[in-house]
Amino acid sequence: MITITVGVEWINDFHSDACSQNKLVYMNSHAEGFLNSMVAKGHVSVFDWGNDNAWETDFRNPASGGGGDALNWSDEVNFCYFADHGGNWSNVLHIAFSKSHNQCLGASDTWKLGAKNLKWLVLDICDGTLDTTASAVVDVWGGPMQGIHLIFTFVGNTSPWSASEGSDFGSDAGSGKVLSNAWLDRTFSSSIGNSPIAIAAGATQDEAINRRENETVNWRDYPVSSTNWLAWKWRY
Amino acid sequence: MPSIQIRGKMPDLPESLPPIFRLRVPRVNERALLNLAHRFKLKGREQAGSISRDASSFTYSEGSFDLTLHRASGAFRFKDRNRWQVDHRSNVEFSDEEAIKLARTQLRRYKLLPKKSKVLRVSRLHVATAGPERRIQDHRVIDVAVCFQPIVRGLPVDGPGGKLMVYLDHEGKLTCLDHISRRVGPVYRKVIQLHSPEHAVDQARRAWETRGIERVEISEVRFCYYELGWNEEQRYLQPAYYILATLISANERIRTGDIHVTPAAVNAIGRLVPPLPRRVAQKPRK
Repeated sequence: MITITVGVEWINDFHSDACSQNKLVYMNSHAEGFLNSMVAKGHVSVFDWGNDNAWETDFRNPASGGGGDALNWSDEVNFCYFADHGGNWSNVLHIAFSKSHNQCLGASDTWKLGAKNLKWLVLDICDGTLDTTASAVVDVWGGPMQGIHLIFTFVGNTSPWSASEGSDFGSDAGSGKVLSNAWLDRTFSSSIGNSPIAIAAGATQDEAINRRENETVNWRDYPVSSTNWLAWKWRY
Repeated sequence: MPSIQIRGKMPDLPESLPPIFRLRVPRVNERALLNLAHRFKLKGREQAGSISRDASSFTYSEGSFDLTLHRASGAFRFKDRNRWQVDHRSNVEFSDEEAIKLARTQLRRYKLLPKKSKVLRVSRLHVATAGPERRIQDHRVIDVAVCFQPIVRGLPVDGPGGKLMVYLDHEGKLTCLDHISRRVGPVYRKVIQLHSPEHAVDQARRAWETRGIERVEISEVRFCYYELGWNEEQRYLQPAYYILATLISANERIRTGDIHVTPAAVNAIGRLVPPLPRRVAQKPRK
């Protein structure tokens, strides 16, 4: 088993200021549960930033200005897990931060995911995509996916329905199970009818499908040469 | 005080008060695992397969089949590794009604169909691709999953548990079966009175107020028995209100789902949901 590096960020608590959002409760359990499960399987923890310690610049690519420092944080690790609020408008995903460093909202059009080391990103948020049409998936993710292999998120709204969603997924991912299937299995709840989705990139259609269906953490060193194709899988 | 809009109908309460049941201690050991394997028509012998163990479960593997039994709950999953969630380039074309019929047949075959149950949801596993032309291609459905809820004294069992999930491929064949349904024991306590659904909403309102939430839409208030998930111990099955809501940000652009669970019985026992682990505060980042 290849050893991979892991970083997590999560936000539960917001303040009554310009960055104000509704407070959340399970986000630390999800993100840190994922991290702990990965470490228990022999992988390496690099960072764990919560609440005001989670910063928008950790995801912004330096080429987008604004103090973008993704290459030292989210894109410094192989697997990043982010748990928080999300909102999707104008074909851009936005993630909410409790402290403005340097923005209250991170925006996916400032990201170049996979420019350095990042292979897999969990966005444990609402509205990772608004629906599953080509425009909703490709227009939002075709640009930011710049070398990353897979993104795991949710279609529309979801509710954190169990404290162990992150640790369960980490346990499967860390032990070499197929990543897309592990995400869909561990985060779908028939009680609430949410819709988890995994989005894979590839230079060709076959490559994107192959990653969607078969990729595990052992594929770390099998790079995506270009994001010409996306292949996605969701339960609803 | 959060502003709350209730979009769904409040649940009707039964005429007779649903009691609190004791749940039977699950029989979870390797012998129970092998006995369960026989039920699924496996050989169920260590010579024919292998048993692996971890902190939360035992798994018996034989050929492409894995049968996992969870220690805390007695819940189990029977799956075919080669077929469950795997895209063999097929497409499920049958309707929800046909899927429900096929799923019931599978549960009967393994003697797992509860005496009373209802269908909670039929979900489908979809795949799709798009290339440089940004047009969807190869959109197919590779499985259909039927989720049944057991009914106890007229009430559905809900929560992370209280589920029998049957996954079927394009031919209607079983690829996986999840059984998270604890065995109900004798009545432990009669319920002397139920809180009203409005009381449950008020409890939720207080919880949201503590979190500083300002605007909430409640989509559904369910009256049910509440059951925990795969890896949690549970001693009693109690009536509960299960509230599904959406929290809305001040600018209305960011919405998130939220679940609030509260005991329905005035004389409920303890907590329904385990407390979250204590959070360790981080030092400010420099």
